[in-house]
Amino acid sequence: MSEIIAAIDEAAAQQLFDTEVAGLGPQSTSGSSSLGPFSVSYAVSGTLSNGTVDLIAPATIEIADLRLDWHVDLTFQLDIGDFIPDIHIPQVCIHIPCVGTVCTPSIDIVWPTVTVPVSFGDYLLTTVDLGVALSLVAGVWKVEGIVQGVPSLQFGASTAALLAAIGLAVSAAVAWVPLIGPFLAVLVGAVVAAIGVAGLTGLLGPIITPFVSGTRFPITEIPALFEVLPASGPFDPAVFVTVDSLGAEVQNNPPEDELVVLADIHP
Amino acid sequence: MSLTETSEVFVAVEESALNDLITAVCGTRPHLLNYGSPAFVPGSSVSATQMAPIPFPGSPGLQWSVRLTTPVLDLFKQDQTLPPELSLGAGQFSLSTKVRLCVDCASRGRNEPPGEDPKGHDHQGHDHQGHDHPGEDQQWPDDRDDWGKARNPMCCTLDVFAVGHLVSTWAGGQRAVGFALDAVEIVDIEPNALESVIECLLTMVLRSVLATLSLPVTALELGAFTLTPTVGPLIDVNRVLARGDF
Repeated sequence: MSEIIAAIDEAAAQQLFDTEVAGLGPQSTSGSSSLGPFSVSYAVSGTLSNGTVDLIAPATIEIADLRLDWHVDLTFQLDIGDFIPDIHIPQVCIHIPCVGTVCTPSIDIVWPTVTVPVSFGDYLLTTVDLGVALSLVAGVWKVEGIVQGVPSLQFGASTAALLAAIGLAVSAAVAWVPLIGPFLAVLVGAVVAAIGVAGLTGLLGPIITPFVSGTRFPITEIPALFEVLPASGPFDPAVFVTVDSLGAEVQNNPPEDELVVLADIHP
Repeated sequence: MSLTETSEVFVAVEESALNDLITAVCGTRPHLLNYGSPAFVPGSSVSATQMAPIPFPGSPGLQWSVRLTTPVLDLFKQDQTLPPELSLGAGQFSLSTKVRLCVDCASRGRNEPPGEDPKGHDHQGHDHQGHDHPGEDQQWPDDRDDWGKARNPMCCTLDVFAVGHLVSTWAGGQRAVGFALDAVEIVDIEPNALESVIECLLTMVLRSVLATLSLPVTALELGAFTLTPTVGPLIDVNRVLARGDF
């Protein structure tokens, strides 16, 4: 039997995780990936906010409706010629009596490659299971809830909205290109179709999921050399006890589920 | 039954952990258990607390010391044997310690048997040193130049038992649990009037010692969760528990 038992109920656990999740702050990363047929560079950030905590014995903390607000900045190179054929109209000359030879100019339209920036943000809700993990690192016992497995994030309506945003971004990026006007709708439709929902989820899933999977939520930290009393004068040095062992678990003690920390000490 | 019941946070400290905490405090700050006048305690330090000699007419003061071993607590229900005069009720703790009382018997002569060394050492001949000093014929030689060396210490060690209860207090600006005495018993002193006097004396000593000994609530739960007690700390069966808000 453990010498010291500290327990909190689900309401306190909810407060604890509200605080801890808020304390995580925004996360961000950048890199390059594929967006359908395009190579993209991206910078993505995400901020978690807490959902509803459910303690499940013996060692699971479920957080339902964990919210992730995310924002992504994408940049990709669009070679218009990949979607609209270049136009080559050769010179045509006609000999006209009394006038001479009249030639039309040769017309060569080679579509340029343009840079398309896209900026988009949204949020998603997910449910995660946290496992209770213990570690002793640098003289500190740490109790953490760690997201188990890789949650499947559902982007839902975000994908349609992001596709629309990409279409608008393409329109803006090619607006300066001479003679693009008649081809613009075709170009945008072709680019959006080439990316498709699959292309978007193939990009967003791998770059946003790490903001949730593997996330460690601090539950408590206890120094292995725990200060019972601080120093309070020349003859009263600080008093410490050694925390020999620590445990953490979820207990079902009807009618409550409780998060319990167990410890043994020696002077 | 849930641990937290209608509260949000629950903390329980078993008897062994409570004694570990008390041992840590007393071991780190032994001056909480050691008191004496200058003949026994040359100066206040981490080890001991210097106090004034007991003033008495015609003398520079009676030199004395009181030293306690780290008290061992037994929380209800009773596990340790107590003298029949004491009983451990619900919500109470018992306490056992050894108290060493010493006086510097300055008037003792060369041929009298030595007293018990205050440090518990064999000190044959030690109590004769004073006779080599000038002024040995005075009844109360002024030994202020020789403070820190009791010349003729006479000591006795008493087994002391007590029962008490927990009290809420403050330590260093934090909520804390303190210890209050209800009764003290010393075994095998006669006549009974002398036993009563010694018990009264030790009750006052123990009460003062325990008043300096308190444990912050955060220490009871190792700071695992923030607890604002609304119930306790109180003695349950062989443990101290508290419940409160997060």
